[in-house]
Amino acid sequence: MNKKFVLLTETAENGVKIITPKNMLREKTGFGGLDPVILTRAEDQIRNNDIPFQYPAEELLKQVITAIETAQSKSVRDRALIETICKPVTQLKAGGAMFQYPLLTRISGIVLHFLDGTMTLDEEAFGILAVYVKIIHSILGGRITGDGGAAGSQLVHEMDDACLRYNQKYPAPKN
Amino acid sequence: MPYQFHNTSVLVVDDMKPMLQLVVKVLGIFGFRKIYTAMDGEDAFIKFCHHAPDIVITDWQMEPTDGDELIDRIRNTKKSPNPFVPIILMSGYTALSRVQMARDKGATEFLVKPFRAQDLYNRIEQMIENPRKFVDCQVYFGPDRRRRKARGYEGLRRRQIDTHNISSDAMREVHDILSRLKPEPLNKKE
Repeated sequence: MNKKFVLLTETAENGVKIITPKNMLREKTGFGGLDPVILTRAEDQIRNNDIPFQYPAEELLKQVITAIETAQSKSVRDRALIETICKPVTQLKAGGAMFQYPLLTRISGIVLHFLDGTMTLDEEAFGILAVYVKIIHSILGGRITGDGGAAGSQLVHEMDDACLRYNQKYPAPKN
Repeated sequence: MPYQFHNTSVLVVDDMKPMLQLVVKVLGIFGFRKIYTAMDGEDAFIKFCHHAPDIVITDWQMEPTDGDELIDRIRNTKKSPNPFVPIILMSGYTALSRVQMARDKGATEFLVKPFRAQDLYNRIEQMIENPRKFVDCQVYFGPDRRRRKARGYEGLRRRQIDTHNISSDAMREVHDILSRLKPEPLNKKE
């Protein structure tokens, strides 16, 4: 253990060491927090950034489609396979709202939640994923930035409803 | 005087270029001047060893080496120049099970994407103001995963088991009298 980072080491009866590292960050940054004006500028930077996201999002959508097609071609659709779909969906959810596509984030968040609670994929689940792909394709194709207005709300509602119906039809087993 | 970030170095790792660019811009506004970047865990670990940054901010899912593995290398390999470095793990996942998984990997803080500048700043502030102790045992080396200290019950103690906490003489006397009384059956007939 490099001693230059350690302030104090205590050893519990069970042999577990509790280490208090030196607060190197404090030594460098000092005290005082951040000027609220700087924080506002940083928020504006995120809100108004013009970093292009269209192309990376389209690439992520392709990854979603490929992962769904691969899952459909397999007879056993286990959690590992679902994870391959989750990955690009997570990226779309993560990036959308940070690059002027909040609707992308909302729809992807619903589908991610649905996938997180699923242990296998049947034809009805693939139906939900097909709708998801169609919606994301429309958002990116139509360059629907912002929340999409009334149509956007309707899409969120429909997606949410579809996942809810599925989960009510096939509730998770109770432990 | 506010925090001085100009001497604090940070390594940002994300395989999605727009996200990497945005985080770097936000950190620049915060005042960071020494910002290193990488687009996967492999390259990140090389840069970590070379620059020994004060903070690491990394995405979770990357190819070929993801955030998990990067944290594991930083915390557990001899090559690592600072196994105690504060690490913020970013991810689009919000499920509690995923957050717990990240915590178990040795991340100091977890940041859900999309995030606001305030969220990122809060994580940095937390690491400065409330740095975590580290736990070193056979199966885990990393920040203590218990955030809060368990607070005991602070109300009036009414149970038999609480009597050892009786502090006033008057109450101790009452307790002694009560303990000498013999219990009588509840359905006793006259």
